[in-house]
Amino acid sequence: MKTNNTIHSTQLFFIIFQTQVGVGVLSLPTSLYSGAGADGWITLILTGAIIQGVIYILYLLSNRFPSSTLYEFAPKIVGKYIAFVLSLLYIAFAISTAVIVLELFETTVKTWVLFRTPMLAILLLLTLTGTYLAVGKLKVMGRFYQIVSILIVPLVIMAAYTLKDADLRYILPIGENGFGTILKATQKGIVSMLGFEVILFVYPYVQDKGKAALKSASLANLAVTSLYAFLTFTTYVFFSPKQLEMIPEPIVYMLKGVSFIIVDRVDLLFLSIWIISVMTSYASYLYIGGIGIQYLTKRKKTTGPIIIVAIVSLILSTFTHDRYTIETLSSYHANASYFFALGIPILLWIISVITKKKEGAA
Amino acid sequence: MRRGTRKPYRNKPYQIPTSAESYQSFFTVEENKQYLSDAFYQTDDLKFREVVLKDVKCIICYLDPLTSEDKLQKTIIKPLLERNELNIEKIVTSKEIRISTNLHEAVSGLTKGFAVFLVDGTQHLYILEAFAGESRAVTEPVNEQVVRGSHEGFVENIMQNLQMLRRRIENPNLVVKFFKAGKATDTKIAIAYIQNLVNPDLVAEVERRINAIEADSIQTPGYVEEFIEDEPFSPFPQMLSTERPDRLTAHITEGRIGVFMEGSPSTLIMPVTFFAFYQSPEDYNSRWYIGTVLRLIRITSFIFALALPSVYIATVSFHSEILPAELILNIKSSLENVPFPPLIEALIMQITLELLREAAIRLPNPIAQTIGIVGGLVIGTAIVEANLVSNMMIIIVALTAISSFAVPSYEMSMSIRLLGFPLMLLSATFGFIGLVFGLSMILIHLCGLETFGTPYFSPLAPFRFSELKDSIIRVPRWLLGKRPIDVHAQEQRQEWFSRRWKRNEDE
Repeated sequence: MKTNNTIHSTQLFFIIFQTQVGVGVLSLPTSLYSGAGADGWITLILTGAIIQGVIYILYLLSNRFPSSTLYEFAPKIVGKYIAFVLSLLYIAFAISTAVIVLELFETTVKTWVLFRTPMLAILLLLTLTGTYLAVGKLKVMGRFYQIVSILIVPLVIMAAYTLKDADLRYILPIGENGFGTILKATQKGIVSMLGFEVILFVYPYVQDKGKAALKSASLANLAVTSLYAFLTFTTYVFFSPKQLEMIPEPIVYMLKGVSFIIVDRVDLLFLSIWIISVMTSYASYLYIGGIGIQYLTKRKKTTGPIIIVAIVSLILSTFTHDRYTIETLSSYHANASYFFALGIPILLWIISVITKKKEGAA
Repeated sequence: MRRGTRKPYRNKPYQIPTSAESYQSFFTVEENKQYLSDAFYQTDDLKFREVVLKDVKCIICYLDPLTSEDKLQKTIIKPLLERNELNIEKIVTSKEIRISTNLHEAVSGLTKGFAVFLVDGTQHLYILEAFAGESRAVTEPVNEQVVRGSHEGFVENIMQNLQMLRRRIENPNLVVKFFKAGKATDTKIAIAYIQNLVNPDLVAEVERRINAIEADSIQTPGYVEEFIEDEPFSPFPQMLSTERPDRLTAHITEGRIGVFMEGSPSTLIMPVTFFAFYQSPEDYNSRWYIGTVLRLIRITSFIFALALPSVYIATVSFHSEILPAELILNIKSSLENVPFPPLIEALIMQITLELLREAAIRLPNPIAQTIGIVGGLVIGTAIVEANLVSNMMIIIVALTAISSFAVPSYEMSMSIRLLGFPLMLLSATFGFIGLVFGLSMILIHLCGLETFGTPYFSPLAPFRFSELKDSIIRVPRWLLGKRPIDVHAQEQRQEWFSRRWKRNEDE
């Protein structure tokens, strides 16, 4: 006697939101700054707009096959063999994302909180918790993501509290770098906003498909864009341009400087909440990888495959972890993610429209 | 009854003989008497009393401890001897009379407090009710006391408990179903629910699970709970156990099922959510503001009992810089002379506290108070003066203990205190990071836990805003128009504009 493994469109909102908000948020202001200068926050808003378009296409694609995930409908569009390769690639992509999340998490925790704790212990913490979350199936993830999203509120309040020391002159004049630069920098923004592609894998489990689901996905994107733009904006008005060039994780630096009544190091609280966002993104990718393996190996349960994905990503993440390698890996991963989150889904959609392939009308 | 194609277990000799096959009775009393005596292996409390009615030899046979002397005399022996007739059915005034020719039935009747009347020359066995139904007086349950409200509590007699329930719900829709469980004890279990309100699937599921019980004995409702609960490895209790008839009534009228057991004053309620453990019938007796504040305090107590020692350990051993200088100086100065790391300090204190609690719980009241004084005052002061534990830790542990006792349900309070230990370990190893992961684990578990098809952490996960008004807070009763949705009762509405009189008042 169990409840159905379905999610409500509200939970879809939180799943997309929490998958998008993740490791990237800490380094986002710096990477945007290197691309678009003090106009980085405008870049983010533009990025949000572009992603909105992508989400619409993802929705159109998913809605053509409302009861199947990408792994299930890909064979119907491009045939068995190409779909098999595609599925393998997606599983590899999910695993590599999980690896990157693990590595970035580990380095950040090591830099800011636990300086001497062995790497494996920190990685294990995230792996165990993330796996436990992912094997609970989508309904548990939906419930958990929804309930922990309330923690975003104190996060925003913490950041807003620093605005008392803001200096608006740092971001003036608005648009000084020209529209071209701002637009070009969007590619740096897209990487940290990744996660919306989760819609391709959870759509069949949504109870109220169609317009309500699209609305949830769009709102999630809007929420993520606003949150990121706000956080970026606060760091840009807090630090001078010279400082921003040097600081790798400006949000944490910024919060380190402020103190509430009985809390002297707000950054520790911020990082504690941030961990949960990392965990949720990590669990989502474990889930994406897990159901891929489950589909390819024709298993009944997702538990085994998810554990396999977790173990593989844990092993891979123990190999390299100096800052340079991680950065190189991240940039490779960023380039690959364009294909997986944008290119392939759009291509699949175009093919399915041209060949008029739809669920039921095979 | 049993799932699958598994062969039924054959009863062992010591278990209750299955009455599936019948054993024809004899024509003579002596043979019947011999059989019954053998069936009970010549036990000494099986009594036989001979009566001669119209020159026919008859024997009344009964298990002495189970039968009421009063009933036996007034309803059986006295009428028979006075009328001196063999027309037993007409004469005997017992509540229940069964006539059988099956000696097995007589045996099982005897074990339930029936008297068996044997008449010479006939195969008929008269099985007559003479049950001694004494139970202790109704008192207020010690662990669920309230200031205002009913002071009635269940007792060990299942019939009297059902009577208390029936008195509170005078409705023909209130259905009671009996089950027998325990191959060596044959314990009576009853489920009670309101027909046409309760979710029929739920009833079927509960029946299926109770029927699946195959065990020698069912001693306490805890056995039933462990046999039928969804997640036996979860630290959280998944059925609400209560000794209060008013609490049970409230849950049954919300569409839940109550389980009674012979010999135990606690009843089980299912399906319940996490927040049911934080509600008390008293909430509805006080002003709703007060009820709300009380509930919020209890929710705070949950967080304190769970995480306060861990937060303290993480702060002083990893992140003391998070506190402002004045505060940290205070804490550090109290820690200065203590040789142990905070985790060991906390463990010493927590274990001492658990020991005190466990020791005091079984002692008579005056001695328990002494223990409280010795434990609380003497050990508390001495342990600080001996520099074994810091002052701060005493405060933290005391606050934690008080918080855990604020939970209205005993099992829940124990579960939370136990969960505190792994959290302390985690925060002593990883600081806040470990604490966050530990709390997340618990939260994930709560999100995934389901009992009888109901999400355990509802209405927080899945989040239902409209149901927060009777779980986290308590709004006035007339605003609670609907039952909780997770019970899947057949009718959602439970209140219909009771304050409509207000509208006509102005005219």
